[in-house]
Amino acid sequence: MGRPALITSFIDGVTKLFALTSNVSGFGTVFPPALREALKKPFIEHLAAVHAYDWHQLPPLVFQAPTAAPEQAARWQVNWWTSVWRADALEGIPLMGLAERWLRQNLPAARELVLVHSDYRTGNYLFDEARAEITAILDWELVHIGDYHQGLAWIAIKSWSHIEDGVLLASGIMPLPELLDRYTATTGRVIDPKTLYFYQALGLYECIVICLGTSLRAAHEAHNHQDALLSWLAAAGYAFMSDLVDLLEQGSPA
Amino acid sequence: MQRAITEVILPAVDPNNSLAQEQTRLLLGHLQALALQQAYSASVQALARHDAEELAGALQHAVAGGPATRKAAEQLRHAVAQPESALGHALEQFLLASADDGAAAFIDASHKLVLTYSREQALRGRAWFKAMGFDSVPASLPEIPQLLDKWTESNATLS
Repeated sequence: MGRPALITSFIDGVTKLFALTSNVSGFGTVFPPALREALKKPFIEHLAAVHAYDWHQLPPLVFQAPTAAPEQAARWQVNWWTSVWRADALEGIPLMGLAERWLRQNLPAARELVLVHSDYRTGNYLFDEARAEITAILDWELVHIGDYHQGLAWIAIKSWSHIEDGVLLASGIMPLPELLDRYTATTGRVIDPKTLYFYQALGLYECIVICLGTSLRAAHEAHNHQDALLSWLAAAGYAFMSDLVDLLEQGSPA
Repeated sequence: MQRAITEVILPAVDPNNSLAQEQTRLLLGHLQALALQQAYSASVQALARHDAEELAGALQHAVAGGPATRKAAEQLRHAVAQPESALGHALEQFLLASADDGAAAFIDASHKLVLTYSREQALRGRAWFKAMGFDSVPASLPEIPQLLDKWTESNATLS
């Protein structure tokens, strides 16, 4: 980010199989069934390891913990993403106003705070195909202390998942119920359906901000060497809008 | 230009330079999408504007609430004469203001109205950008001329 850096080592691995056809950043990835099966265990183990990190060790000025109220973790995330939208949106979108209203009126209490990677999904880890191992986790710029449901909801966003025989495979690896079961079995953390629903809505809101807000703004103002990619990515915003409409119409679980 | 990229530039790009390969293909993709969209740009913008004005009208018709909501409704009324970007922002602000003191019936009605509008807006955007390959069910999307024909037919029915 414009600052000096030092490369200390190299890690083998790829974000997508050479033979696979997929869009940018892991969108549309379809793993062969054998690899999908082999990735299940390491995918959950790495997620659990990130969530198990003792965030109390982190520098508090950099990683502030939302401990003042049970809803603060959710409120900070809503505050952050709505402020990014207001700063970057080139034009207003009514759905964004509606979604913000709904999010602010339905902030869930966090049961337990963990270190949330915030972009842990297929496309954002390196893996070794031959050994079926995840070798590195990428894109940590959104990491924060927050609710573990946020990380789980993000994994299952449709655009980087795969639908097979009518079943959504979260991040192209496993059905969402299996992901949640494995997560609970590994970590002992219980999944609250209403909280998960909130973070699914927030996740889609974030995706719209990233595509139709920040990507377009950065491309529009030529702020980035990835103008072509960012203006391409903007197009994905409408699929996220459609998914958010579906989710809000479906309504929160009782 | 598409042919220049396909036949001259892309073959000359180092196949091991994945960033340059991806950037070149992205440029080609943008040009292909622009070629598909060009003829319909003005009509799609007109349809988008029409739908946004209809939503603004429906929300103003349904409005019920306290001073914050009523003030935002008045600002929305003025924004209907503004460019679409300003109208979109005014619609957002109206919905947010209603969180303060909007009547429960209006919260419910506006929720439904905005979702109905947004479904059409999202469908239009997905159809417009279908060539970019992000949609999980591209076969289910209409072509842009079909969307415009549907709009023309519904206008003819109303008039």
